[in-house]
Amino acid sequence: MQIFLSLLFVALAIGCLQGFQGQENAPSVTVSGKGIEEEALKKIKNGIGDAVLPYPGITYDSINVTARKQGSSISLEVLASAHPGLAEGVDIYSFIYDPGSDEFFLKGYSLENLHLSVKDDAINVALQSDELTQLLESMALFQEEPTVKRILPATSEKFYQPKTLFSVTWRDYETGNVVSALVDPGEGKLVQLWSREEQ
Amino acid sequence: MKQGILMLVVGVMFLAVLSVAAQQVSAQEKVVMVAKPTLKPAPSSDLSAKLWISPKNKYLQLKPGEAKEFTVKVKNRGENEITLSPELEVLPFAEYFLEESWIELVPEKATLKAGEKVTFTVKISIPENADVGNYNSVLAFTNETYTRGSFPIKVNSLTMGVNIWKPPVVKILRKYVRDRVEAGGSYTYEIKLENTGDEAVSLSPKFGSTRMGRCLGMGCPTELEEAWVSINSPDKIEAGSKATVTIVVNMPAEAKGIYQGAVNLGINDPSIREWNQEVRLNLVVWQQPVEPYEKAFTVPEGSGKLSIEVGVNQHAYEKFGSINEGEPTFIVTLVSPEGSEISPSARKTVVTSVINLGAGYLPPWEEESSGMYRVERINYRETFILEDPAPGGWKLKVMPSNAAKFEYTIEVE
Repeated sequence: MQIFLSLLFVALAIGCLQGFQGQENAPSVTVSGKGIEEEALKKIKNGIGDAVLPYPGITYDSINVTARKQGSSISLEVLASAHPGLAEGVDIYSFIYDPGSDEFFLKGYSLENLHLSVKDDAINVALQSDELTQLLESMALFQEEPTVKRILPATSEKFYQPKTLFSVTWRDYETGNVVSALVDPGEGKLVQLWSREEQ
Repeated sequence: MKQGILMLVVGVMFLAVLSVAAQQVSAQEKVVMVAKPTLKPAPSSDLSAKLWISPKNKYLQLKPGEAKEFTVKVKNRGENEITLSPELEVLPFAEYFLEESWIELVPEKATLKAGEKVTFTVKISIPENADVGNYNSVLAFTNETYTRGSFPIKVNSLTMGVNIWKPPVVKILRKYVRDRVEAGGSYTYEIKLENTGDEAVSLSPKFGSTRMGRCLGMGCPTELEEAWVSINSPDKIEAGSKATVTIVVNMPAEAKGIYQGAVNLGINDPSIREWNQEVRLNLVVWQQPVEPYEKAFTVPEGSGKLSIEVGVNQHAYEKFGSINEGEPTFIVTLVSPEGSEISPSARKTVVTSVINLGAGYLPPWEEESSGMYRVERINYRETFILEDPAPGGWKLKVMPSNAAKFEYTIEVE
């Protein structure tokens, strides 16, 4: 009897754990879109989880999709974020969804849903560069909070290598001055620097 | 002696002007065409040799033991034949000078008739034992000079600069600490170092910066005081291993505003310049008030409704730091003319955001985000309403949390 109860307890514990994990791994997905067939919205809801690309180690907690008809295709604006304890900021994707082939084509993105320590590390890597610190000083940008965005390999390839990089950007909205560093987090180095100074 | 001091002052000013101009050009060159800072030669009528030299400036980055060749073209634009015997001259304000033995020039001499040109090949070879630093010299094609300030400048010359560098043996994995802290709090920051070489490297971190003049005037951060900072560090990093330097900052209870400071890691690695082994600290002090803000106001006779709106407009990134802030909240208390305290609940909460569509100038690698929404500012508003307020003198008390500032509106209808 005791063995049976122990086994039952273990089975229940595993069941609870799996249920909890399953709940944690499945993001809450909402899809809205006027004038779009229910069937298409359902397919988008089922497929969007595989189309988005969260930062490794992050699981999205919620994915909100706004769909708009665009000819025979559907344009999707996707806002995704992990639990606030895991990451801060929002990942925004722009997809074109083809209902015929049930395929998602990534059109644009702005990915800021990252853990603060990841952002901090990227900023620190960027600030290793003297050229960058000199630019920040000369353009009076040191007091500005930098933004840290994830750059996907397809974009990175044009500037460095096809790997996930970070764009660390300081911007003064009043003067229009911008300095941005493209950072390779794996190598811990700045791979490109870009700046724009208003005259 | 006085003349020497004057020369030094003029020299420092000249260097500062050159350095500022160079920084601006480096920042602007990437996007805007600007004129490069060149020294103006004296009027050409004063000169016997009219030479066209291209390039006029050459800057290289080389490691000890490396060599590099480049060419320089010289054309005789005058009417007379001229013999060129290029000579190496030192710049009076250079950190280090390029040695004559490091430079090979082919041909060593050239004679040019009017309108003729010659191409010189310059080879700069850096010896293995050269120190890391910025080396400058001038290759003068003729002896003609003009004076700028107190310095004679060679008119027909090529200015050469070489930044001699070595890949750092010790990697500094964190060189910038920025945080939001509380007055009276103690904060620990770990700076991880890695020795990639095959010999132990000594360490002797000290508080203080060798970089000067970062911010002058009003609105600049206050310097962190050495007494508030303690540093814990091993005295060396063994070959091929890692070490951690721990910086503890004890903010005094009366601290306010933004503080900055630096810890020089004192790494005995000649490839890392003195100023490039600083860990910069930038701390913003957050002090939660203990007493509410108070404002007296009058409710006129016959008023039917009193509305208080409290809110804050903040940057989307203002939550960054050791203090894990939530959304701003406000505890509002009203003191009636009779002295009784009323704590109304918020009747309405409004959150508005300023969204940037990336229409401004984006770095080329962020162009994928063009036209996308990005939260720039968030505005939180809470409205408190009291029906049929008694006429007379009232007092509004607001206790903010997670807000570095707030605004309020008192509306009586």
